Amino acid sequence: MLFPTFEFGVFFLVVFAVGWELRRDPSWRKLFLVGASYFFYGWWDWRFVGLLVLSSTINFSAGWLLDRLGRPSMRKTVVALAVILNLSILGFFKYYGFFLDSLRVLLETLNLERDLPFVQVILPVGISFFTFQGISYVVDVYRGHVRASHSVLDVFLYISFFPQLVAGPIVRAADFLPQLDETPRLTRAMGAIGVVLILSGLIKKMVIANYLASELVDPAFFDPSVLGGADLLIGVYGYAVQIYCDFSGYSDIAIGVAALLGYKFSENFNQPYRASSLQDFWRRWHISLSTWLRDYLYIPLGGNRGGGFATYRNLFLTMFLGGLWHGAAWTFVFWGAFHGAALGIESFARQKLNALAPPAGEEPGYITRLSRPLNRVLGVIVTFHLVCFAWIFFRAENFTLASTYVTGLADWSVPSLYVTPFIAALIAGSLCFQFTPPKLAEWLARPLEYAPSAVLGLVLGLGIFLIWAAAPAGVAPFIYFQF
Amino acid sequence: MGQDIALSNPGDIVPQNQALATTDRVIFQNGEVEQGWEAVPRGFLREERETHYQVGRLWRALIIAAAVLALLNSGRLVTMVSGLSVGPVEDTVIVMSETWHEQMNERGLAQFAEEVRAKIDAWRAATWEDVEEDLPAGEREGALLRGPQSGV
Repeated sequence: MLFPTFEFGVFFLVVFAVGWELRRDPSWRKLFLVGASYFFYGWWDWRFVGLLVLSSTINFSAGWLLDRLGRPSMRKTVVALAVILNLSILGFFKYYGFFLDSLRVLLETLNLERDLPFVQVILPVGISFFTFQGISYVVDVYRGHVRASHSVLDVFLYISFFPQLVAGPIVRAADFLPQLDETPRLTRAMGAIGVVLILSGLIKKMVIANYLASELVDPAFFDPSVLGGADLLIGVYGYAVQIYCDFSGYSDIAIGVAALLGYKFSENFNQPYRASSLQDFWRRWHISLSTWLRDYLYIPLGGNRGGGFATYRNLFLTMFLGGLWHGAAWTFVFWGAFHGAALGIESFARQKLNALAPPAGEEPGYITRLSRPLNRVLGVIVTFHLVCFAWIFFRAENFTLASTYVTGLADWSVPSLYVTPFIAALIAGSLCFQFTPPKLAEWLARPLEYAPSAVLGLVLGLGIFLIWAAAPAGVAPFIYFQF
Repeated sequence: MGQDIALSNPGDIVPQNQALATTDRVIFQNGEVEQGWEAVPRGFLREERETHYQVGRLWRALIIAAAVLALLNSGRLVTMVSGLSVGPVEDTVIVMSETWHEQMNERGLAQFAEEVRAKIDAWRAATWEDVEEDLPAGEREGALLRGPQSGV
């Protein structure tokens, strides 16, 4: 069930009431939350509940074995087996069709047509997220970052907890499992920030992302050949805002809902479009995924320990696979490869510029001091446009559409059709919020911490009412559900 | 009504599996711990009370929010229940929601959603020419000083 729906509202009221009623009996509380999470997941498609059970069982069993095995070679075998099983499940559901299609195209290109098996594989919602979460649990147990849980219930709840199950954030076992061992708490601050994040997420998703999608981005990417440069440029800006609001909106709601149930999740987005470099962008965008890729892919590949070429190779491979994670299409692979290549070039350029910088301890000159804010502004503008260029390939259905879009940006002879004051205000207003103080949500939540329940209820009720009234009809799915 | 909780140590005591309420009284007894009691830090008691209070506060807030939505958003409720499958229970729910929506309409509460939607639709339909017409007078004068457009 989608977050901004009546069904979820009723579901959450029940979970909130029963969950807190059971707080003095941790086992029953966890059992109830696992049951609620499986109910939430089964609402999408009950056939895949078994897959969630399988994934959780594999990861719990691997952790249990690692806890008992002392021999390093055996432990390595268990980790390798668990990772292979997890990735096999993900690979089959997500990439089997892509693999067959690509193989078919390759065989046709080589004049070696064959009748390949036709199997339509349904992609289970959230499989990329809970698979990565399971892998992180097993690897963290192996590395000693977290103790293997002896409770099946804890691991099942960690992997299936409904706020983050279908679209993240990818929560680390070291962050979540200790919270399950403690008595659940609800403070004023958690209650207030939960309400603010839920409202913030609903505004981003239901109003900003949905209007931009239906009134600008979908028409622009449907047939970019009929549009001029102005519409295409604003279209890609619009998509940058749409995907940010859609995804960070979901994350906000997930973190807010978890807070109301007494659990703390880390932030998943930190004003990514104020980044002045691609490295900074990836510290702010989808933080749970980028840190996962850093800790379980980039660092095991060698990170930046092997010198220049090895660092660039590792960056490229990490982002290449990160692109592949997003979807079974060559456009996603290109998007990841572009970011990987750009990060490598940026790393190289940074090294050379640092070599030209004045020695440490020397007082910077007037020009140097003046150029720092200018460099930052330039960096923000250049980074945003690099990211937007890559978004074209992320959004386009195929390379032909993407290249039509890119070449169309140069043609400003066609008058604008879609750049209305409403659309411009939505984009400009959303981008302005990238430059507000970082802890704006906490600042907005402070007055609610001591507000009476009636005021809190009115704020929440009127907020949801205004969002529902302002939003377009229907509930569009979250973009990241397809991953 | 609160209950008495005996203190058998200088620290605070909470009976095992016993519900805590802010009206509970703590009574100091002689120095032995009775069976079924355990000593817990004061901080734990404070956190328990805080959680108990916040859960109640948020629960009331959620109910009030649901009531606000039922009053002001009855139209959406009708839209949602119309999608239910055919059946005696579902038909009853649909009739009740439609009746509720009519009641809210008669009291003028259902109009707020339509007014907000109409405002948003007006903003969506606005063109750049509409925005120029809405500019403050000073800015329009600046436009006039730049010269007449019609040649009159």
